[in-house]
Amino acid sequence: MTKCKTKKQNVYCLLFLLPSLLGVMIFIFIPFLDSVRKSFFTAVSEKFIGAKNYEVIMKNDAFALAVKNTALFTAVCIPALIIISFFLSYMITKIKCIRLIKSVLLFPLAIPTAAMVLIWQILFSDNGYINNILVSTGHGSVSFLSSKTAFWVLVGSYIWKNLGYTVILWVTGIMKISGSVIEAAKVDGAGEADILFRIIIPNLKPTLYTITIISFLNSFKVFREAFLVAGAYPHDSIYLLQHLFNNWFINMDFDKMAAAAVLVFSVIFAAIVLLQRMWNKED
Amino acid sequence: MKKIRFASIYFLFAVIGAVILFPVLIAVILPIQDSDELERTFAPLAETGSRYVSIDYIPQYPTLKNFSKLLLYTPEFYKVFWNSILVVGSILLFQLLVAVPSAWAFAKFRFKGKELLFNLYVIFMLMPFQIMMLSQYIVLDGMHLMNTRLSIILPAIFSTFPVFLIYRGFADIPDDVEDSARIDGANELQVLLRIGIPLGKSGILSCLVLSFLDLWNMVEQPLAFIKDKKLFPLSLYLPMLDIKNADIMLTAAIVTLIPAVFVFIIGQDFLEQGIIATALKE
Amino acid sequence: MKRTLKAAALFSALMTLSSLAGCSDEEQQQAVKLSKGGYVESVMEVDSDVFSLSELELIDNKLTTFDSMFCNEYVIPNDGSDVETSVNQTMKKIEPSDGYMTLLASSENGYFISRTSGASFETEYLLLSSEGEEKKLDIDDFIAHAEYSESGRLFMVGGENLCEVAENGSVKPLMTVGENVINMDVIGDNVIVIDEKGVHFYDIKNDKEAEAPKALSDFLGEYVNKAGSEEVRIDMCKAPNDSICIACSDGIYKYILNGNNVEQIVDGVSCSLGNPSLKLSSIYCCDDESMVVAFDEGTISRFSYDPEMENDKAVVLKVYALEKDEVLSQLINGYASQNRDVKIDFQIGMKDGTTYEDAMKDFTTQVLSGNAPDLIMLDGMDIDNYIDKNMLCDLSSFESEWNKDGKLLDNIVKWNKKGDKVFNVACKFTIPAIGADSDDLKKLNSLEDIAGFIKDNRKQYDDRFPLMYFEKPEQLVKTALIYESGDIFGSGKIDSDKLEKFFGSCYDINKYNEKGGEYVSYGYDGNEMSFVDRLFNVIREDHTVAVGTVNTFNYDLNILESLNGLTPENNADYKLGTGRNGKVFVPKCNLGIIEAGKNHEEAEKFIAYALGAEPQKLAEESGFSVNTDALSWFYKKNENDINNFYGYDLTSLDESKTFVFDIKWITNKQAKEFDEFIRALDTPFAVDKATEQIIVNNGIECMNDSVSISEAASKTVSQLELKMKE
Repeated sequence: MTKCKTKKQNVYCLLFLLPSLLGVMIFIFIPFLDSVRKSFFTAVSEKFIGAKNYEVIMKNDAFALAVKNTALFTAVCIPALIIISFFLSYMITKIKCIRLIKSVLLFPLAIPTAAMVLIWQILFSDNGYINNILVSTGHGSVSFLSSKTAFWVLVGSYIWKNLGYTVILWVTGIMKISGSVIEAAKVDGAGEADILFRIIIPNLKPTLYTITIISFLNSFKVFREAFLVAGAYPHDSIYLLQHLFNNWFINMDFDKMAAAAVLVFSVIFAAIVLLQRMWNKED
Repeated sequence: MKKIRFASIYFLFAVIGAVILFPVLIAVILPIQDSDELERTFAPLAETGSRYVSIDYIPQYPTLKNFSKLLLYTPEFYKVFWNSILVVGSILLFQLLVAVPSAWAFAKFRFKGKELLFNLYVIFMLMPFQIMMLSQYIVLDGMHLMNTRLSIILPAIFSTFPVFLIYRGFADIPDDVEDSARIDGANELQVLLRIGIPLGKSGILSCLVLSFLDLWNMVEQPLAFIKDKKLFPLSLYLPMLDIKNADIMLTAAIVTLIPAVFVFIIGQDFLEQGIIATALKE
Repeated sequence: MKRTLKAAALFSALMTLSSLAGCSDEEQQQAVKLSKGGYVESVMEVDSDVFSLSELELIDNKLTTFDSMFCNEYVIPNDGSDVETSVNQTMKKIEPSDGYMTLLASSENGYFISRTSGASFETEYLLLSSEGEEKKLDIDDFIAHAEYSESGRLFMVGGENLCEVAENGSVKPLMTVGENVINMDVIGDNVIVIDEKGVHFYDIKNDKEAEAPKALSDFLGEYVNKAGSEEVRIDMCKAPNDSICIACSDGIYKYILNGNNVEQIVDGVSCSLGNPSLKLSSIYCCDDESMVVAFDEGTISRFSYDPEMENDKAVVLKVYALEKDEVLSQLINGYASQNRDVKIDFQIGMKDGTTYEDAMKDFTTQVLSGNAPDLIMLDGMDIDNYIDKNMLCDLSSFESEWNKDGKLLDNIVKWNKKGDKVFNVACKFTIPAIGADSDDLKKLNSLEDIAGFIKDNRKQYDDRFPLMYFEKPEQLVKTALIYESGDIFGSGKIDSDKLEKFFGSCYDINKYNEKGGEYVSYGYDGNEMSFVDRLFNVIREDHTVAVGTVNTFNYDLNILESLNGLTPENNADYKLGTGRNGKVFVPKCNLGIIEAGKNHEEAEKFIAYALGAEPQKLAEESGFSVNTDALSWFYKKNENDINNFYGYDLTSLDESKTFVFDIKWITNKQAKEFDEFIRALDTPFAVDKATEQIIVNNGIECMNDSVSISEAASKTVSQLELKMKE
């Protein structure tokens, strides 16, 4: 990395950053600061009440439920996705027909949400196709969308959708590892497991970082499907942060929204910083 | 031994492929079915009664009637399709213009507060829309952009997601290549254009593909900021249709799908070339 | 691979191009709105005893219309003098002695008439010349619309065809049209037919179908779509300078032939066209460019152009309602007509299929961005939430304006008062009731009782017909909620056992209400039956029960109070209240003023207007008035209005019994009792739409056996509790 020693480079650096910075300032950062400000006032009448909003949402059961569900969902999905996709990608590198498999895996990403929702309804609703099969083979029908299984349906939907891209990222990362290094190790008598654990995995750290972040991002996107299928007040197990925000907005609880937004931001901030520290420590 | 291993791997992928493709299969078969068959699939969902959904895998009367109904008799579809193309196209174009220089700056320059700024970028990228929705309303309204297509185009252009993805692509470029260019007398802009972009192609392309897929499916922003149904993008057209119009819905979904598939097929090829190129570089 | 790529590229390119082509004329040019000059309406009330008015036509150079049923002729002079009424002797002579006659179209040379005999109920169509010569026509289909062209040719719509009737009586089909023809007009050389598919043009000069101009088609199509299932009243006429005038409930519009846009020249909101209690019959454009509009209620208005009229109104009142409401529309129209310097911006949240959530998001955005409405109709909204957030103004601060001399039913108007403060006032109210045979009625004291009653009767008597008919299960749950909500929510929290019983009752009613498989309808298509309609079934049949709300004096209360006059005697009886509680009422058209709104003053004036005696007499069918002066006027109608006596014949489904029902206006004694009763009402029913939707959705799911009753109840409880926690 070059150091910005020369003035000219400094200028270019600034120029490159400027458009993005400006846009982010106007459309994201300043609105967020406004949210922070709002978190200290009442909703519509805008009276200053200090940290009361934070107190209120900490004690709020719906908030606790939403946080719990969102955290649980993230904690389950992301590791699951990472592990499954890594496993698959490792195997892909061993065989041919990569292209076909990649196309198949990528397909779910291209399907529009609304079509997805329709298909989920066809498959998983109480008189949907899967229940049809279950009932005709003698098992009882399962209420997929209105019980605890809804959570797992959502997890499944998430993994189904994001598997493809994550695999591709892994494969890209694996392929970048210089072939000659692996050849050399093989000559030295290293077995598969050795190659895997001593060479491949360590070199995949940047890829892992990217994948974690993107998976995290996509885990928030399941809200769309959950909302279109189960509405504003779904089963408790899939009641996410976004549901709560959505409903708060409709009820004009802007103060709670703002306070919660600040809290979520702080938590994510801490998580990212932590992640980075962990990454950099191992360097 | 190796043969069995290969066979088992292939088998595994076949199974996974089948599971993954099953919903896609449904999405493809249903639009070609006749309304009677479709009725057996959809009616149980909309009605009262405990009939179960049944799906005919081999349509008995395959028909393109649904497609003709959508493409020829529903003029709103074209407006909506055009809206999507316009919105997504302009966003992608400007996203690149804005994000590529920024990602290059993050990847290649060191400056005070870089880490903090980058972390902020990442966090903003992660924040779900609902959290930012409130304040974005106020800003957009203050700029008198509510109920225009610009209200979804502008914030999306400055999304930090492309910056993050392209950064990845640039970060992998070894420094010596550009240093040698600098020694040869190229200024920073030329370094970016002649070295950065060609070498960072994989990052840029993967960003394009992902961004396209994401924007093509954008639902929350138009719902929140646009009231006029004539300005809706394609992604909102589908939820607008009732289950009674399910035949049009699925057909529209397929037609929505095609550009996306098209984009990533092309994108895939380029991505692969990019990977091969980088690998060859070693 | 390359080939598929190419194919895909071609496909996408085609789609893009075609979509570009498809929206080239997206933007329509807005006509320049002048700041001065507009139309002023002057109303001529002609005859209140009119059945309906026929199309305005120029006969002998005089603008004429007829009462379609009673041979009365009305001539509107150009000079502004009074309308001349006379009896048209030509028509009178051929009037049948029993049965009735309807004038379908009129012209200089003759009339097109349908005549139905009272004995055989057969309808015949005939041409009547101005000299009195009859010519019977050979027509089997039902003729919905007919009109003469300027040249004297007669066109009509019947049997899904546009036809021409020749002078010799032969009928020639010209063009197919749809099943539901909304309107037909002959304008110059074209016949314009509006049906459910769109707009059709027929060129009568060249005798062939022509293409409808796009701008006109789009405009009319949009208007018809907007109306949804409501009746559409629209009429068009020829205007000077090759244009067409279109009259509808949104106002009067002008379209220049071959032009690109349809321009509004009169806004319906502030004139008779937007008055929900008037039904538009026809419009005629005079040579001096004034327009005459006739309404079926016997009102005729003239719209004359005043070049000095100010168009940019200084005062704007922003009104918001969640759903379309007849009372509010009526009040707005009345207020706007009286205050012509005020522009009313009326917005309906849940229109065109917008969901509750989207409507609320839109509303929230408006409030957030400083564009809050001034006046809001709070029906269906979470009023207490807004009060908690200090969003509504305290109306008690200017109570002397709207509660003049204490002439309001405080118990109803101020049903939601918080201490001394009043944040919303109700303008109308309705009362739930239960109807059944008197022995049964005593035992029906809750929804559970009613459900049990229906279940037992279905099993015991095996009657064919529905015992308590609901068109949609959704409506069943909504209505049933009125009866049980006090019980379910009474303690402040949701009682899950009571909720389960509630769903159980709904389930039973839905299941046993109709005999499985054999469905017998009383002939109501799509619209829910009113309480009185169900009560008629109680009269006609045994073992039926009626629930619903009593809303009005005419067609509800008078019928109930006339029950004693049934011949032969019948056990049908009713009681007001929900069975559990005899003092329940449903407050309607709740008005409030938003603190953040810009124009409090005008909103306050509107509320004062809305609660005044005269406006309270309007929109009668949507609820009882809350103004005691208006109520007295209603009570005393038995003295003045002779036409408040009418009769019904109610025949049982198996045709074994017929009851004759003479319906009279309530007597003074009955009025007094009713008055005492409503002054004692103390339990309002108000549930916000979000809660109602949760209960209704779960109710429907358990009624169609998707979930069990206890599951539905527990789901509802958890959803409602979640909602309350937020």
